[in-house]
Amino acid sequence: MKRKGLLAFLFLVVLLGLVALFSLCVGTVWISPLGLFSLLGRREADSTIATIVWELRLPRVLLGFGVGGALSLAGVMLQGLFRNPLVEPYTLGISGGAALCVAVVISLGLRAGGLVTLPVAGFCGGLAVILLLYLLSARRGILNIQGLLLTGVMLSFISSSLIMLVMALSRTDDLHGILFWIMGFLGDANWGTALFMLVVSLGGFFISYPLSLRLNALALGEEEAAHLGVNIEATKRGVFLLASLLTGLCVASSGVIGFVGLVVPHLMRLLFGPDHRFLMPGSFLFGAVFLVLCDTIARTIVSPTELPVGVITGIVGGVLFIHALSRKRMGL
Amino acid sequence: MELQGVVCGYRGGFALKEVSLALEGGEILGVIGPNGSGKTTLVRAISRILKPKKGRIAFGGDDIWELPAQDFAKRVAVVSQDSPYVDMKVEEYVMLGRLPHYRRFQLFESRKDREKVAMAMDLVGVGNLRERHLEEISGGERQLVGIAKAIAQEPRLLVLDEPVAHLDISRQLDVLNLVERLRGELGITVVMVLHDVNLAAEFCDVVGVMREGELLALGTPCETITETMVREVYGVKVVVEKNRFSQRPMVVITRGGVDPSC
Repeated sequence: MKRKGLLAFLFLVVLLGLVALFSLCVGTVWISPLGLFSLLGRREADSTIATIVWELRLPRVLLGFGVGGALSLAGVMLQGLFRNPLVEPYTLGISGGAALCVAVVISLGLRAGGLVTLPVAGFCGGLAVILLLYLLSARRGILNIQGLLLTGVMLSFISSSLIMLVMALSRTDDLHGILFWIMGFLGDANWGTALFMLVVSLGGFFISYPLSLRLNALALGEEEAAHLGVNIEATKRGVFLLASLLTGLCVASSGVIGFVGLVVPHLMRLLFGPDHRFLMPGSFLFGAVFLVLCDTIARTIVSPTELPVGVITGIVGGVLFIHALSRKRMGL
Repeated sequence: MELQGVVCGYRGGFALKEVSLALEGGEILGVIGPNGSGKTTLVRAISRILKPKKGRIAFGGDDIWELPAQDFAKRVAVVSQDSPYVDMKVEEYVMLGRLPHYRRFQLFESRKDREKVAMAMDLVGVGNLRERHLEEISGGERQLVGIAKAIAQEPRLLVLDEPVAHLDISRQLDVLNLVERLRGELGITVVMVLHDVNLAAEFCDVVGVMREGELLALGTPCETITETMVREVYGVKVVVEKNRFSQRPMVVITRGGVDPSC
């Protein structure tokens, strides 16, 4: 398994490089790979091509890498924690809280505060839901997993209804902004957000990876894992907080990009099996590949118009997943 | 293992009432009693899942709740009533038994871990199932694999919660003979919950009889498994004879043996 796993990781790293290169080349303006290499180390080069690559496409690719990796990582951790394959980072209502705050900010016309207004509002909304969830589901330091899931789903429904209320009361001009944000969009990427998310997702990965073995034990059930010496409450708290913060930061930086955190862990489970020691890095890498590729499709398929990336992740992810699942069922 | 006046309960009710017992190293203790008598609660208390409201449980002189979880798991291994149905190969599952022995940031098994797992699987006789998935093997095999995982933990105390429930007579004997062999070869102490009084009489050195959360009797099978005890605890009339091979008590049931006075 170790050798097979290493080969698969190598393949994913190469795939990520190729997808990133492809994403830098394609767009309204085609830039050849050779043209890209000539721009290496010349960020200040005074040309339109240099501006497109350095200021538009590269930050967007890096943001896609960070957000895709982090969402998939959060998804795989939460599916492991809840032992439920239908759970995804947005199930707990964190995205709902973030989206509600952003919708309120947009409809009240407060986004004039600058580029960071929406991410900050989104993060505050997400954080409020995380705290509320924890307070409602923890009793004497013990986190009730089923209670957490049900409370999260309810909070998600409540936020969705409130978002609809805000949208119903919003002006038509604001509606477009809210809708794009809710469907997820990487087009606002800049170097600050991209590098921040890159550091967050890589940091999140390295901090959460030591939990992989405990997630394997949790697959047997809480009591079985406790019999193996796993500190159950610390593990549950750690996984919940890490996955929630990663989700909150992803939503704050690029809106609600659906399906990545659900479908990528499942696809990787078909490749690596249920072992989180392989599943977590595999999902992180393939999540990055998947989102960068979907974003490239979203900004080129009806170019020069851009589609929200969430539309593409839903369609591509769903089709890929059904295809992989049917192949597995047929034993191919 | 020593329990002193242990009281445990769920939501206000008491499932264990002042249970005290001491177990010598290398002994097999069988816990018997009717449904709802507190057998599984006793197992959960011993295996550090349910914290006593009162009393103390000590292992090797240390209060088990003062030991770090990992240190406790190095000393005590538990095989639950229902082995989990998880998408995992048998060897991967048994390897999880090595978890308490992993160092702080160790994520992958060492050569020593692999050797210990191979040894545990061979000892239990499931080496041939290594590559099979847990979902593919039978209930009896799954029970043996659970024991192999517990042995890979290298415990000094093995706790088995109804290890032969749902197994046919041949598999029941496989499991219980294995437990006896493990005690002999590894010198471990065993606590097991059993429903079958005859199996408890045959395979245990000490039998604890539970009723309504109380440890009603504790002693050798000859001392504890009597017609009076069965009538008092289970409310049935039976005949207790001596097994002519092992000289241990043997419960013989009769049709319509319910005691109306119970």
